[in-house]
Amino acid sequence: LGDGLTWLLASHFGLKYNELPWRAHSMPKNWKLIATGLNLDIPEGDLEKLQPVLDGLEAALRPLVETIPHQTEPAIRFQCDPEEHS
Amino acid sequence: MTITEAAVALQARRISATELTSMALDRINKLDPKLNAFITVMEENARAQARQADEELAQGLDRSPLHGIPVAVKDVFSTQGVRTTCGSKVFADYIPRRDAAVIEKLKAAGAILIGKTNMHELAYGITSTNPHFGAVRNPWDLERIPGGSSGGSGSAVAADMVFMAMGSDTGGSIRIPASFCGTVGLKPTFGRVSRYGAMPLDFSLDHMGPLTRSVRDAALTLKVLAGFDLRDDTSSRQPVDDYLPTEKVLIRGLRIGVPENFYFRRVDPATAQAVRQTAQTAEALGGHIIPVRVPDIPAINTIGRIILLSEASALMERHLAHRENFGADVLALLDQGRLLSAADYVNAQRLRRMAQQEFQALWRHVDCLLTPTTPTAAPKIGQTTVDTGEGAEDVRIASTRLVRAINVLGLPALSIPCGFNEGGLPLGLQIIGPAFQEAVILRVGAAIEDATDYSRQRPNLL
Repeated sequence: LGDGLTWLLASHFGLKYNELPWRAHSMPKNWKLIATGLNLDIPEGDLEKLQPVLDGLEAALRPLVETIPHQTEPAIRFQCDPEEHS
Repeated sequence: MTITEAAVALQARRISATELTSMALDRINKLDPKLNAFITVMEENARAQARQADEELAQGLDRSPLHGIPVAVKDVFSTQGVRTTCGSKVFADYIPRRDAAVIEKLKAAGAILIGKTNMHELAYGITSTNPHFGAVRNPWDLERIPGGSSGGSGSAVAADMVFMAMGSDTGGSIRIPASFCGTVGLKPTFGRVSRYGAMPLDFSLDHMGPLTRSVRDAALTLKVLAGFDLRDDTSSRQPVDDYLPTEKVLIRGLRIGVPENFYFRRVDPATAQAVRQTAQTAEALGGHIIPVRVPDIPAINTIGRIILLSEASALMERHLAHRENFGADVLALLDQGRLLSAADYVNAQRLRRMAQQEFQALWRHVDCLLTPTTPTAAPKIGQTTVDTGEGAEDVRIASTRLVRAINVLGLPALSIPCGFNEGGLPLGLQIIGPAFQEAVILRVGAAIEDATDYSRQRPNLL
């Protein structure tokens, strides 16, 4: 289902986006593969300990990301003229 | 004795800066072997500064209320010619060539810099059980943590070693030690105090502020520290207020919000009762207590964790080739940050903007919020979980749960003592205000402090 229709269904049933059955079980990230792909020298034992923490963080973040309106800019500032900041 | 009281004694020549400094150094010599609050004690420098302060006072030059007052700073603040370790093996031999902006301001105000306080490694944690410089201990119970990451600052102020110690706060690191050590801790608005020369943990979450023995001491220290600094990209040009609450401060008519959601869940009963009782005190003083629903704090905490993990790992990446230089807990956090995606970081910063806008609406209804600072009193050294009656929770997550979101929002927050649990450990209360409204939260804090005696109680260490 497209995002728009998913939103409509979620609001119709009074649910949060990720409480819809087909959104609730998003695929967990494979942290080991990511670490290998990024060539990070994290020992396997350390990586295993991190997995549940990262999975938890991912599960908390993903539904929030779904709520960001498209035009929202990040809260990071850059200014060409250093005299003009603040 | 508070800074305010010491300043009066100095002006009246009842005591000298040299005597105050000697007293501070004696107390450090006696107590620091137990507390391990300091990484570096600058005895010679301090005595020389004190002599100069006395000479200036004799000539009629009184630079500020901090003139002649012994203070300390967390070892994140660069001090010209004096080792600045950030509690890390990586920077164990780093000797800065310049002072941090905070140090410049304290020196210009005539404060006597006694030393650099111990802390959680890289300011990245809340226990201050430092693998390289040893565990800092809580003056109320030597078997307990002082909180962190500004643990040495909390311990030094609570043990009356110094009148004020500077801390930095990225996810609660001023307010948590203030709560666990029974001191006052002020995290100003983001941009209010320059970060120049303070070793960064997170560019967009780091705040600098004082830990003190009283609210008025925090206020007069902020007055010294606040102001625009071109060298800090995030520094604000907002005018600096007169923060010092009047002697008989009034809060009549002030709208004090007490959250109905989140802040009193998973909080131990003694803490919840102490905060609610303090709210009643504020009401008796004429404040309007208004129950409010706050925006989604767990979501803001998640945003804060993503931002912190990403920025801290970006900052430390070039040092990670030598994993043996880091403690296990800090290394685990740095590894987590390396695994997050750039998209997650940018989205966290977009969510931050949304959270800021949502929180902004709250200030139409209240002038400040009153919450617990930490859900429990200080845990024991080595304790990994706490249980507030709803199951075990990681000590680090629990201790930052009520404070981290305020860093994401950049709002000013003050932690003050609000009671003791049955074990005699101090409990902390947090007052949160709108951006740049430090004067309001200091006013509320001072009124509560005047009506109670928690700030005046001291641990029995000798």
